[in-house]
Amino acid sequence: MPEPEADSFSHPYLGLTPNDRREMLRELGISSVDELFSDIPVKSEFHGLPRPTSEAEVYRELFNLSLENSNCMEHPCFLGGYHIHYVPAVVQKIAERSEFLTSYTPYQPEISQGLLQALFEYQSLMAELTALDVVNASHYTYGTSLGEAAHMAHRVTGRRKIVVCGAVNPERLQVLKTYAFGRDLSVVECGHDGESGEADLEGALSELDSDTAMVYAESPNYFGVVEPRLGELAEEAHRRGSLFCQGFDTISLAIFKPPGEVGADIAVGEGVGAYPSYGGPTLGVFAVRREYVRSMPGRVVGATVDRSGRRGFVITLQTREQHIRKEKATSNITTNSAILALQSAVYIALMGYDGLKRLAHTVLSNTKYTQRRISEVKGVVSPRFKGFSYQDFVVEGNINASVFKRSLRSRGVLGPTQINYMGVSGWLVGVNELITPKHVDLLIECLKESVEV
Amino acid sequence: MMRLKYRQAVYQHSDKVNEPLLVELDQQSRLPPPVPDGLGGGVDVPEHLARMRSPRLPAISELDVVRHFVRLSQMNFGVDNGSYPLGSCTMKYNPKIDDVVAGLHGFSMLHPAQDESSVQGALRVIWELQLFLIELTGMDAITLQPAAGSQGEFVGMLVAKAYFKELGELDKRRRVLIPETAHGSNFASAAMAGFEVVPVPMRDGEVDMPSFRALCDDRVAAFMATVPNTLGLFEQRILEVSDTVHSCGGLMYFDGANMNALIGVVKPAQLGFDIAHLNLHKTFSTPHGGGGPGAGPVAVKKHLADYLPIPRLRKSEDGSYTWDYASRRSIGRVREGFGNFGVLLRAYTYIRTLGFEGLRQAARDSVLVSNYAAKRLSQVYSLPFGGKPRKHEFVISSKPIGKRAFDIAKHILKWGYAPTIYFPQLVDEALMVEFTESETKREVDEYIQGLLDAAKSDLTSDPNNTAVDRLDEVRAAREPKLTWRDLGYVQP
Repeated sequence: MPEPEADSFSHPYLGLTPNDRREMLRELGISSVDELFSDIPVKSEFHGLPRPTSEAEVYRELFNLSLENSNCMEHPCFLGGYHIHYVPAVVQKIAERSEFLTSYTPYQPEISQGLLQALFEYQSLMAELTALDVVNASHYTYGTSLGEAAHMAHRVTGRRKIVVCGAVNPERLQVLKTYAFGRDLSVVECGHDGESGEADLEGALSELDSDTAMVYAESPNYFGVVEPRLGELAEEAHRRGSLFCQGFDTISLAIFKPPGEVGADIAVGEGVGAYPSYGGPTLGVFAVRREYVRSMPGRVVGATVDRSGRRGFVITLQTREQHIRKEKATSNITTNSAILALQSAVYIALMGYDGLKRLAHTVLSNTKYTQRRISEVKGVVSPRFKGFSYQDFVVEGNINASVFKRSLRSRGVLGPTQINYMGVSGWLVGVNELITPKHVDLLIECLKESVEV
Repeated sequence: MMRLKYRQAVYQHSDKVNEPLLVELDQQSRLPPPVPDGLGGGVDVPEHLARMRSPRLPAISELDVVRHFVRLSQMNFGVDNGSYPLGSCTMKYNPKIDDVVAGLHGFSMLHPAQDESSVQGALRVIWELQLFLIELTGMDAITLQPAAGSQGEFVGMLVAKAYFKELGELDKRRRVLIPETAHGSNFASAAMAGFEVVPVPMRDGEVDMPSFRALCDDRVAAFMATVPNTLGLFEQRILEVSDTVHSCGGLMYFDGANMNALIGVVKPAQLGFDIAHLNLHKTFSTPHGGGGPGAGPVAVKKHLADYLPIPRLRKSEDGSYTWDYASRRSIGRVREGFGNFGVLLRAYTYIRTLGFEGLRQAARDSVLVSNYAAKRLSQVYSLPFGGKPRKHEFVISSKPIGKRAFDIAKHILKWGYAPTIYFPQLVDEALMVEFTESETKREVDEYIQGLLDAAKSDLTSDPNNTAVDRLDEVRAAREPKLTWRDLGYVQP
């Protein structure tokens, strides 16, 4: 047999040397690795793909490219609908531990106790905050958690209608509708009260019927208004045999009624302790009451003991999952947002209840401060809605949108978000703990330039 | 041979507890960390909106939090600790430059609602990555929105559904044909999109053509295949399969979770596929993060492009990028934002550094290593459907040596190795192995030797070098303890 012909390409990411390849080909008794591809009936040609490039060159290019973006740490940011908070250095450093970051789903529990315990702690911390019994080990986003909640409610009740109350984040609503299309569910939207910005409860109740699988509302809602009557909504849903699902903002749970206290069966929300990264990856939180644990989608970690009685953790209730149950699984989810669940756990551990409470109060205080400052601008209504608001609020007025946007851009201010949703056209202002009076001054200057009297 | 014996760090708080839980580290009287003061002074929360019961959250010093999680990390195993040849998972090296780029503040601190003019650099990365993946799959259009492979499958199935709905054929086309050798998520995704799942039997590890043909009629919406399949085999009659599906009006779906075997070798479009998803956390090396996040872009042929999720990225004549929200026939959004941008950046950086030649070499090396290991192991274990070349992974069975795959898996944890076991379910006592191109021959040889030795060893006491030994999984499922409240830590 002639000497095998081994590939000569070399790169630091590849383990084999040409010699290794030759020895392997010899062991296999073949002359080229091409023979191992002889079962593929087509060989393709490729064009326009990059050549191998040194790390130094790629880094420099991407570093410069990153400078072409305006980031929300450098610039004042008043964008609404999605919330950014400072991420403590500890969270970032822990998330970078490569024992966590480069690990796989912990199917072999003995070598994965670290991540399993961290996920168990995430579940525990989030269960405390939501005041619900069980939290799964993550979904992709707040919205995909909501989509999965609708599927779960359909599975539990056998019904097909999802009733959405009040101002729900429009992107999330779109995600819900896409998931609903999958299982052939219908989504019915009920409006909000034009005065308060709160969900129109009477309208929602008139939609509840014997085919309603789930009633959904979020608080704070898209207009930033904290929903005051979720308890009644949950009660009415239950009276008709439907599930009630609440969307929440994690940090605000430290001060506002959590889903468990209003009687929610399912709660969905977003994780904490991660930078926005242009909207992803994020963490979708999914919490349920204990009676629904076996209908719940997604992975879950449980405590157990090893042979010597030592505490340990495993992925449990796996018979709900796709790799075992296939088309009868509670969801197709496989890859989730585990490392972000870990980040949430580190974040909440650092802050504690009192830290979260303080942070939520700062956000609340900044909300009222910014509302008040904006309301001093002639021709602007701030806030548009009278309901109690947190973090986001709507501003209306005779604002020339293109002048306003240009003005914001020239001062390097990101946001607010222009909205035209549910009959409300205006600007959604979002605040966090990072804004300063000077940021608000800039925003006000821009507004003053853009109001047409 | 020098074999590194692996011993995991263990912190023994007591005989029964390694690292304590956060709740056990609680120092009740500790004050919280400082946060910025509110600008508007104190604001009271109205009583009817206020939280009634305090959550049981611990108060812990910063150093204690750091130590807790660093210790936990030392009780965890990843690719950076040692080879992790889990079949079906493509646990390749995750280049560090990718993480560094994703962490640049000009990328990581972008808010998804920012005006397009302020994120042109980010949009250029997304655009170019789209072009790369379109070329690698041979398709015409792509979405980078799906957050993971399974979500990509769901998107692909919804695209098929929307397509047939518009054709007015949805009422009759309710079936999705899926070979038994496909990933479990394929079945679940098709069901989530409302389709009836019809499994296609296999023969010799590939689709059984007579049974397949008998199933092909105008009730078929799609044929969904994992290529190469979960046995590591390429469907040799794939062109015939595609022709048959197309001739009865159905669509061909390519599950690209195993694309590492084919990248730079063949374009799924040229095998007759209409829809293909890729797993960036597998083929394109982004870290698995202990289970996620990933990214599952979906590429389609021209006739399906309009059904992809919105928004779609457009490039204007002046070279600037904008998002197009026009819904037309789109299935809608499948998540907020535009995709897992942090993951997309890593994959983009990987493609740029490795280059096309490197991607193709990765496929060639992963296949070479897999065949080499399969051949050596088949001297002791059985290799089902021998005689056919494997692709990037292979499945062996420990049945002929009278040992359970479970015991073998626990035994080789001694060296820090973990195979996928009992998957696919088509093979008894299955051990599924995928090295990837990242491993050296020395590492591969040591792993093989470990498995060969396991065949002759007493396995019952293993593992004995990890933070815990065998765990009682039955008890965990029978009485689920899912929070520390379940363990008795209630309100003080």
